[in-house]
Amino acid sequence: MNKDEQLKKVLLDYAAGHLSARETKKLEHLILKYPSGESWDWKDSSHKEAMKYRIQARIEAHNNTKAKIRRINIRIAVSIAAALVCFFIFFYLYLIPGPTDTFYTVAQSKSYSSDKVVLILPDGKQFQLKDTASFAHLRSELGLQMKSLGLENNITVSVPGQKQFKLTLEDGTKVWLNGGSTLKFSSDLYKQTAREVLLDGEAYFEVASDKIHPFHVFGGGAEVKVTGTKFNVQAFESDHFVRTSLVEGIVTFRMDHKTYKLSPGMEVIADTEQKDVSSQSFDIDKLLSWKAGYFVFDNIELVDVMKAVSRWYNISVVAKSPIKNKKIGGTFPKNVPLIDFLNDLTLLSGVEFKINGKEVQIIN
Amino acid sequence: MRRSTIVDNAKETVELDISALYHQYWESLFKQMMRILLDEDEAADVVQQTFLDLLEMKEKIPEIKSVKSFLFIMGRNLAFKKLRRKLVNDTYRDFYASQYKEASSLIEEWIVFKELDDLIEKEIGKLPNKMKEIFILSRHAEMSYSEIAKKLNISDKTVKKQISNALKLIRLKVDKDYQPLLLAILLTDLLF
Repeated sequence: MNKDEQLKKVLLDYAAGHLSARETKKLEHLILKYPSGESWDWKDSSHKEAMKYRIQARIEAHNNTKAKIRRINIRIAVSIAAALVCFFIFFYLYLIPGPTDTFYTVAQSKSYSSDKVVLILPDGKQFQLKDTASFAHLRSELGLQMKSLGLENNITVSVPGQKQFKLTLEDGTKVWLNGGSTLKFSSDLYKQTAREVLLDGEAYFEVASDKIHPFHVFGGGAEVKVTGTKFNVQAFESDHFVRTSLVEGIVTFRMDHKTYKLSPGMEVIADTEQKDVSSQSFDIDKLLSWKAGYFVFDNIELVDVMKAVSRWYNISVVAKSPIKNKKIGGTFPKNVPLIDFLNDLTLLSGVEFKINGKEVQIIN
Repeated sequence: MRRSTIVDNAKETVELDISALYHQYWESLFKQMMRILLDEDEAADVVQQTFLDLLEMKEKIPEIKSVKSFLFIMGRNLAFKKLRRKLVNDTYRDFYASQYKEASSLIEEWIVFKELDDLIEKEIGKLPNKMKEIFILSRHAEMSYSEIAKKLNISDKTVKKQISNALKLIRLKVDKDYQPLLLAILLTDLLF
């Protein structure tokens, strides 16, 4: 065995944990003594400053999230206590005389006018769309009026469950809409001083850069402002939930006159009812898995899993008893029938489901 | 190495000024992590995690004698942990092996270390029973004199004496086979 092979062998033993504590210490000492690589240094001072700022921002963001979680926990404890009191009063007053099957709703289905992606004009006229469309083409095809209709968002694109849609706006901005989402925007968006869209649901944006005409996404009571960048927004009006995750560029998140600047790899999660904002880092692949046709659950509460499932399959979800802390982790394809999906989820979580038309019951 | 740093006088500054610490140490910490990991993103992750761990330990800070040493030891441990995980992969292993400057000095020193280490292990096996037990607790279990004394229900003094005798015995044996000069360099490293 030559020295090169010997070195690799030692490194393998080290990686595999086959070295004793003393050997490990010695090897690490040697690695520091004979460091690897050409002597590394900053390319220039801006390289160094950028790195300094980047790490610092992430430390602060994490640190704030931790503090936030502690506060949220107290709030949750209070709400649980309140819920328990309510539950017992309810139980005492109504259930004792004759227990009947009562369900509470975890997630509510929506009513869509079509099971296809549709474009709805201000006068109510609807047009079916395929998987992808460019608004410029639509305008010429449908002969949309060129006259300005003011700042209000007068064009609606509605994507029902189990569908995904990619829209290219006239300014070149690309929007991927997840199933169960609607996007509203002005018919002459590209002429406005600020490009504004209204989102209820989930969308991934690749905004065409235009510093003079900033791009704003409104949703769930919050606002996301950008010039040119890539980011994902989940804005669920009914859940008072807005999650903004930045992939590239700079994004400013605003809620109640407070603004939060995001750096790539960070996301802001806001509860627009409780007025609570926290930020953390995220995994881009996991976040954007919906675009590739997967649900990726990273140890999240069953309640949140069922909300996502409700949006995608457009079903209501009900449960007999509150779902206790049940965490789900796993990757599931989205293009399977609901029953197959639920069977997989049962296998993974042990939770049983019953499909009743457009309603799914959770049976513990 | 207990130079006074910002928080070494922790009694005065109960409130840990993390941003001052960050400004003071981030760069040298980052460079140290780069030496181990050769990857800016990974080095940045480790620096971030190190400061977060420090924050987590905030309450215990008065007990940490040197925040600087704490940062560097923590960082180094995290970086080596990361490195180990990468080295499992064949491609990364080849890459790192090719990157070590003076790779041959590294491996030569390693071989000498291993030979001596094996020799010492053999000699430990030949020590009288009680002495062997104490010596192994110190060397392998890395227990302190007082911990060993407590465990075996003997005095600290006895432990100290037994270990020093064991060292003398081993040194005598090993000296025959190895040049004392080499030993001077390596033995402290090897025995502790």
